[in-house]
Amino acid sequence: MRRFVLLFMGVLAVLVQTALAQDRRVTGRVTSSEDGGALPGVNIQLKGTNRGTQTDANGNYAINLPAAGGTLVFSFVGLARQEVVVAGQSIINVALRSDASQLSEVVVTGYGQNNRREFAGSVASIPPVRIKDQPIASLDQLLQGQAPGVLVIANSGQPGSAASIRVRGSGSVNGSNTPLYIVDGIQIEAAAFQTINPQDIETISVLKDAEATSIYGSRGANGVVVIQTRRGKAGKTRISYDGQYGQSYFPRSRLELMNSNEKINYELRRGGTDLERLSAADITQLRSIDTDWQKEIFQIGRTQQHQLSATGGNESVLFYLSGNLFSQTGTVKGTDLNRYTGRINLESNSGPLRFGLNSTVGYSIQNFQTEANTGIASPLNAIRWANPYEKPYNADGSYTQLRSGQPNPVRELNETSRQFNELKTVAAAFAEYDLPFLKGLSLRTNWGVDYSNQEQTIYNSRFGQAGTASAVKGRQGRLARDFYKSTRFTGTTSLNYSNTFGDHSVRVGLYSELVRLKYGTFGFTGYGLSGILQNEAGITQNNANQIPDTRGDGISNALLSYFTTATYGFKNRYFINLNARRDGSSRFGSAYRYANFGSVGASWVITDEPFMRELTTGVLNSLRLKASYGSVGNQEGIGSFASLAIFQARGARTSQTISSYDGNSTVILTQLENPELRWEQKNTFNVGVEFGLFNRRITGGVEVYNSITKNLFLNDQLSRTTGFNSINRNIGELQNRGIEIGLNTINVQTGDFSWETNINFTLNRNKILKLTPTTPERGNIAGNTINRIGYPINSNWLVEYAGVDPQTGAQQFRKPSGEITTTYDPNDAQIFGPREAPYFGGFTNTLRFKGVELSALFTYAFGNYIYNNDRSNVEIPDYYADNVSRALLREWQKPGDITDIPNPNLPHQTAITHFLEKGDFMRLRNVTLSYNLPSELMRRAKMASARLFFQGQNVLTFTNFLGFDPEITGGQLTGAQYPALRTFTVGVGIGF
Amino acid sequence: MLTIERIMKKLYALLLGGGLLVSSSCSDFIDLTPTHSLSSTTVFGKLDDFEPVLNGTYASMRDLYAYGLFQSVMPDMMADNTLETTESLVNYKAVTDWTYAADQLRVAEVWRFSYLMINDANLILQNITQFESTNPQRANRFKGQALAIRGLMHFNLLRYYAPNFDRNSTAPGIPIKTTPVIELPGRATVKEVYDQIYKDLEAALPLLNDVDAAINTNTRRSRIDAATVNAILARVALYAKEYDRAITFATAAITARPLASRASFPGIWTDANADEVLFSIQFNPGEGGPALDVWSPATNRAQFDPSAELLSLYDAAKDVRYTSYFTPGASVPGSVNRATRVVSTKYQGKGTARDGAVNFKAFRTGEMYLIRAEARALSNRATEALADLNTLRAARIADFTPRTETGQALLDAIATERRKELWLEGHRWFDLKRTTRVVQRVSCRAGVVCNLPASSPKWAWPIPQNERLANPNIAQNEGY
Repeated sequence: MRRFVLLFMGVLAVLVQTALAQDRRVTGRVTSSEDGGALPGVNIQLKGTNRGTQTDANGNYAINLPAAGGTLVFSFVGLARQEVVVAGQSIINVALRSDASQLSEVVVTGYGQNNRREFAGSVASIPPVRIKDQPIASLDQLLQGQAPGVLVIANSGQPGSAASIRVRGSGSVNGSNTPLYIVDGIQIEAAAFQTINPQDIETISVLKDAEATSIYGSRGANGVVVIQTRRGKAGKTRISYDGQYGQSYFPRSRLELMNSNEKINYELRRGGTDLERLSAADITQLRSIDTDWQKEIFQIGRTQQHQLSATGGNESVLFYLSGNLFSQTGTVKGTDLNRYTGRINLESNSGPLRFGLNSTVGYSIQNFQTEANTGIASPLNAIRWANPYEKPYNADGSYTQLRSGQPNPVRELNETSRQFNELKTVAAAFAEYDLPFLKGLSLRTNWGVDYSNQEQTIYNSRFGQAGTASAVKGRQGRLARDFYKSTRFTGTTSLNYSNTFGDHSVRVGLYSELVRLKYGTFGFTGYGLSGILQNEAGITQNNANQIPDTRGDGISNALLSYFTTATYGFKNRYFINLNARRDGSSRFGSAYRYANFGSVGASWVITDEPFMRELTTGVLNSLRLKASYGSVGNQEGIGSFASLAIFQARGARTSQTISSYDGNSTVILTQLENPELRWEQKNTFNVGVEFGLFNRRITGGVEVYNSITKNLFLNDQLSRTTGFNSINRNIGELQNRGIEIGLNTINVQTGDFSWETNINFTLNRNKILKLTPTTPERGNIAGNTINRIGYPINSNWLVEYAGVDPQTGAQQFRKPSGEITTTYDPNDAQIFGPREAPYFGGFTNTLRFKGVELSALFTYAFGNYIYNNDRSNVEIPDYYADNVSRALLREWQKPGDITDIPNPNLPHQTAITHFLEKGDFMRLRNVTLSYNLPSELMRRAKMASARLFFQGQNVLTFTNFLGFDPEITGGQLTGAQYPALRTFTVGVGIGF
Repeated sequence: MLTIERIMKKLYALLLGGGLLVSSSCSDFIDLTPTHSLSSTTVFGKLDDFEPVLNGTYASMRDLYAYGLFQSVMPDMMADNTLETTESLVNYKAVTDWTYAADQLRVAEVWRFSYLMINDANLILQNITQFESTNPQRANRFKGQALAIRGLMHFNLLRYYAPNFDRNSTAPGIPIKTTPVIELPGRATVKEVYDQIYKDLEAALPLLNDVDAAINTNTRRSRIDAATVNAILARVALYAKEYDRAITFATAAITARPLASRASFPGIWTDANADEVLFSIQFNPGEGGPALDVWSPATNRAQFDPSAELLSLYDAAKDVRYTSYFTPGASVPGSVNRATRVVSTKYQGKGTARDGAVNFKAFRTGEMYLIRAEARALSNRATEALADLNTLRAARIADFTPRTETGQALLDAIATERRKELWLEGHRWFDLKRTTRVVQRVSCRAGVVCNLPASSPKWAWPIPQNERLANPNIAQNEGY
């Protein structure tokens, strides 16, 4: 204790001495170059001395300098340092620029901020300015191509739909691979992003390795996306308006179908369909019809967004308020999203006590269509399957009945509506108190809730096929509504100590954290909508054949964690990070609830070494090495009561729901007991280098990682005589290793013109290292996927197609031995490529000239394979009563024909490589042209800033995939694809 | 004096206490139990709790892989009773065209799903022993049904997967499962499987004759009772060619449930009555149906039509079965393309409903007459056999004059009557399998496989590939 006091006294003495040596006074104001706003808290230091000050809430400062002047150094976390020679000036105003991927950057991990130089973990920061204007409702979709190691696949263009995100590959097979999302310190649901407003975001950080995610331990195995919403900025209250409007278009399908003539000729040649029974005149009449079913279903989508925000405050209270309206109609008729969000962020900083509240309320209404299925009533399938010689309406305006027996897609589209509403509140309050008896010791507690109330309604009128299907009791229409209520609270309380003693700096935190989710559902389905009212009020009551169904369920799960983090720094260039934690999860049996995890990391700022000093001035501005190793746990993705045998009163054994028998209640076993199930653990080694070259014209970093998931959740295949396919067990080991490169270059910077390039690239190799000893040598096979040692998880498992036998037209298959056969044998299946892209990334080019900026973001992913079930459904010759692919025009017809499409009259297989396609794509994800009006003009108009922009989203796509869109996860295009929207918008941003 | 460590310790304890708030202790916070489902410790708490579990098994029989398709109409679709149309979604083409390989999903799921219901029965049988002394008659009621379900499901499996049905065959049958545990069983011989089926069913019989409450009523036949067990045993004995036993069991079933009159016969198919029904799986509106993949009344999609050959066997004007089972396409509303076809309307719906949700008559007396006739004909009791056949025909055909077939003609007449009587009731494929082993589809269209010779290995389904990958003790059938 005594030594501490002495040190403290020493520091105090230095400060006093400095204060005495004043001579002349310099004042000024520091602003942000980005928006011209005042920057409070900027450090200003006289170079080579300890003399310094900070800007006040209005960005103003005053500093006393010796008569000789010198050089002032302006620094602020997240912004580029700037040095100004004082000379004779007495007023020095400075505008600081943002400074991405530099050592001075702040690393936001969710529990306070770290300086990048001391942080050994792997973190990617995404500047919100790069994503905030994109006309997409779901935040997760916006992350595509923005950060190394983060693979974002859109999956769908339906307004409000969520993307699939993988951070450094899939580390789990049966567990979740979805990253954890933390907004203002609390966990939020990954599935529903349409109700969060991306425009309110200040920083997004993606935490990738064990060191960075270790503070999230049990939840961080799949990476963590940490989002901080905008804080108030001190000074005059600033009000901004941002708005945009645009249109969306459906892309062209690369899968071509037959036109009317082709299809009629094809059917007549094959024979057996209804056309055979028609007269020649009728056939001629049909030939005159050539319906483009896409035109019947598609429309031009419209997007508009308006945001009004206000920010301001003084030294002690800061606020940020915003309101946002987002409205988007999709390119499929009847699909849209309307979202209304509001936010209040308040913060008080008075003396040792700081507290604040970040809160948002959002409401979204989404009208949607089913997608990614093979249902005949899905309009997105019907546009493939409906024959071009059919029309949607009869002459009298009634719906036609298609000859093939398929439902009329226009009828199904019009007579069914699906709506999803969500009310979401995310609120987090924190309080932090600097304890008076020890400098650097503070207490912080942060409590928050992610509450959402969702309501889904599916209405099938009595005029469509879906509303008169056999599943609809009484066949007079159906209204199904389900309510979901989810409450997850997160509470984190910590004691933190941080101090510097000469060359030594120490930061220690002790934490306890609770997370609890309570989730409940209730739903009903009513029948007999035969009256005037076509809503819940019109449901028929007390009819024995139309008894309404009700359903409900509830689950809860909880996590309890204790952990500690410590950082030690020496000479501000050597750093060591340590983390240790103990987690308990309610999902496991009592014997396996708790597990321990930890990590260790080191960071070395090489360019701060004295021996590097000469180099640092010209070529090498900064160089840092870092390395870390650690473990994190995973328990997401398994059931809330995964260890127990579960009997349900209402449940499904195959596709059918069982809830009663002969009017009596039922109970069925739906899950086998699994008491040995325990934590999945991911161990990651990460090493990285960060550099700045040629006066920071080139900055970037390279990281190499190797992570091994142990006790991997995997389906241990059971003898089916148990009645079950498999049981989830901790068998196996999985490796993800890769390399990530991020590079930012200022290619040209002359006067008013600059050209900047940002590139990121990731290579991720996924490999199974170990499976259960009882797994056969060939691997764990489920349908078309296989998990085999030495290969990526969920690899494609298919029999190789070897074309058509020219003599018979039969399909031929290549056995692993190379022999060609016409006999299909599932034992001949082989592994054909991974389902998840091993190579991906993005690059952005930005050109600036005066107030004009043009930027283009390309994203890409390649190396994966997709089983195109959508194509197989129009190439299976059995389906020729419906429309089929133009590929069948070249099918085998007579001996000697050389083709890849077999004789339609012979049996044919579909689990073959003929339907496996490369998933490679590159797309011009976003291009933006913007113009900032000159500040002179602004001042006269009494405005702070004004910006106009035009942007295109998904403008171009380069791919060979035979479908609308290659952005598909899970390795299979099932059918009914809703491709990513091609959207063009114009927008304006005004600040007062 | 407080050291820093002690201050920290105290504060830390305070923090944790504050963090946990209401929770009394740390581990309580993560000690959660299901509130909306049951676990093995809560499900078999008392004897009455066995009833919903048993109901769950009966409800499972509605599944596609049980009496929702594969045990209800698939055996007709696999044989010569139906022909696939161009309206087919070809979801079952590999089965109906006999192109199945060991990795065929349907082949795998029928296997697994049958064992799932066996597992249900085994759970009941394992847990009920503790209650047998307290209320023996009630325990009998549940235990008897569980034993019967276990026997029936083993028999259903044997029918599809065994290469032959000979009573003393040493050919590989199917694994026998009598305990609800995870294990890797091998295939018992066909003989051993028969032994187990008989054992379960014959044990169920006395139990179901000594129960605390009636299992079924005259108009509600939704559960397996003693009469049903006799009917199951009669069918088993016929397959096993144990004709004396077949005659005995069939007679017991006939006595319990006499043949329906011609007047009431159509009402059986709309569930207006349950005459001569021994056991029917209940399908209520919204619960699917037993034959939606043949013809779906709601969507009016006919994926399979009755074969012309089958239709020609009926006396369309006088046979009550013809009007009960079929409707000319022109009379089916909304058919743009079926004027010249005949639609299989046997399972149209209850009453006047057109949703296909109608009970599946798994066992009924018509079959019992045919079993007894066949068993008698094959055990030198031709006169009685002919009497049974004539009784049945008289009950179905108006103005029927008794006929006098003998010898092979009698056997052929019984086989033909079986085909007509039990159309779409899940027999044809197995009847061919246990007799001629030839399928010959007449006026078969291009794109459909038309013939299956006796030499084909497809008469026995392959053992599912996924079973064999997980269970090294299971041998594959020949030809796969």
